[in-house]
Formats: sequence, structure tokens, C-alpha cells
Amino acid sequence: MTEDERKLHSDDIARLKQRLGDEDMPYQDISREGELLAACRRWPLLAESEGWSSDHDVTPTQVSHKAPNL
Amino acid sequence: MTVVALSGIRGGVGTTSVVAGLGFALHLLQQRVLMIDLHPRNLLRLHCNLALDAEQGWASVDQDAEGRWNEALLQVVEGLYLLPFGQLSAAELGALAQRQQTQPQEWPQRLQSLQAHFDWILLDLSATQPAGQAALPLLPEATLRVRVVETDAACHALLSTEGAGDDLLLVNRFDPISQLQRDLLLLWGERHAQLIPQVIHRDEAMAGALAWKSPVGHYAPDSLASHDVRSLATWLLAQEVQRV
Repeated sequence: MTEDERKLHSDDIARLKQRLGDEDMPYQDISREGELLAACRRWPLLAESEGWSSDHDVTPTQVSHKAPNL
Repeated sequence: MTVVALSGIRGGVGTTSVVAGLGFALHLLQQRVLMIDLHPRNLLRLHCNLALDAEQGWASVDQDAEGRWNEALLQVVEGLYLLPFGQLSAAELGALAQRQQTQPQEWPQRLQSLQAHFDWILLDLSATQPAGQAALPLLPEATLRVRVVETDAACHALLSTEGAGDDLLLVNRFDPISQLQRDLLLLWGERHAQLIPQVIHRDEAMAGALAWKSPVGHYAPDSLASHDVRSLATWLLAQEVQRV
């Protein structure tokens, strides 16, 4: 086996795709997706920027255009 | 010659200290480097041991005698040069901003004239202003633009709302102990292809460098921040080899 062939065969994902017969199957790094999800759960700002609705308890509602009377 | 323009995505992210550190690191890699302060606060000079009351710079010389901006050029060490901004009054700053609008080709021409003498020209620019308040001089098209960011919520909000265009993103003051900073770095790595793979870690040496009036690589060569900045310089060199 040449060096190149050895490299090819050591690529587990490529081999798995070959076995499954789907070369075009998109590869998803599941652990990374999980970490991103956890990060967005921790920080509402991150979730919001990712387009996810945040389940934050307090959201200011618009009450009036006038300044509050103090 | 490569022109690298560094500006913070907001103020206070440590851009000036990065410019000084990077200039020194490129100098250590046998590159001919010029650092130009384009920030009216005129602080880059302090990293090069100039006096607090040293007033001369390209902008102040140019006020006195137009076209003689390059007389303010200083040699820091052999192969490493500095062009300070200079101390201007508010009225003089206003006049300068006006001239930059009427003569937008000024800096591209100046950089062109410096081209033969340097491998790298690093520009220290003020933090990016919200759209419509552009105070930055026009730069040549081939300029490598780097936005300095900190992994904090404010920078994330600005990246989300204003973006950074095609500019490279350089993370400064990264603290891996912070969960939020780790989370943001992970997210940015996924969402921003232009994130530079080398971060500069939070390091007291970076703060000490200015107080010691020198670039971080000279003040604390064995510090973590110095290693980071040297790796960044090597990364930039490798990018240039690919680009040419």
C-alpha cells in the first residue's frame, strides 16, 4: 500500500460513506453541533443572533412613548 | 509590500498594542516594517519610547508645511520605523478631516511612495464608526483589513448587526477560563470564515508593554501574548506567500 492509499484508508468518514454508498452525504460534526446548541442555551444573545427564539423570562414591553413620570 | 489596516470593531479592544506587537514581531522575522498611526489619539508612539509630550507626527508636520508629512518618520531600530500621528488641536483635526474628503487619494499615494522601502506597512486606525460616520482615510484596494475583536457580548452584538464585511477578524485578550469567551470563539469559528486561527490571549504582559513604553515582544519576549503575536506574524507571512 502506498502512502497515499494508506491515508485514504485511514479516513474513517470517507470509508463509512463508501460503505453506505452515499458519497454526497453531508458530513455533520455532531459533537460540535451539540456544543453550539449548549452555548445558545446558556446565552440568550447568542441564541437570538442564531435566529432562535430565546425563552428569556423578562422582555420589556412597550408601554408609552412618553418618558416615565418619576 | 503589504499594507495591513488594523481597527477595533469597537474602541478599547487593544488595537494599538497589537499593532506595536505585530510590527516588532515582523521585524524579528527580518521584515522591513513601518507602523503608521492614523489614530488622532496618537498613542502608538508610546510603544516606541517617545516622550509623552512629543508632539511631532505626520499630521502636525503636514499642518505646518503641506507635503512634508514624511519628515516625521522615525527609526525605532534598524528595519523598524514609526510614523506618529502628531498632536493636533480640535480645529486642526477638523481641517484634516475636511482635506481627507477633498483629497481622498492622499493616503493611497503616500503608501505608494513608501512601497519600495518596506515589506509591511501596519496602519493603526480608530475603531470603526457606525455607518455614515466614516472618519477613516481611503486606503489602497489591496489593503489587508483586520478587525480586532474581543470575545465579549458587545463585539458579538456588533458582528451580528453590522458584520465585518470581508475583513479578517483577530481575537485579542482571549481568556479560555471564561465559558462565555469559549462559547463565542466556538460560534465565531463556525460563522465567520475570516476568523484568524491565531488568537492573542489575555495577558498582563500586553498591558505592561505600554506602561513600559515598548512593544510586548520587547517588554516580555517569553510571555504568552508575545508567543501569540509572533505566531500571528508568521501566519500573516504565510498568507502573503500564498497571495503572491
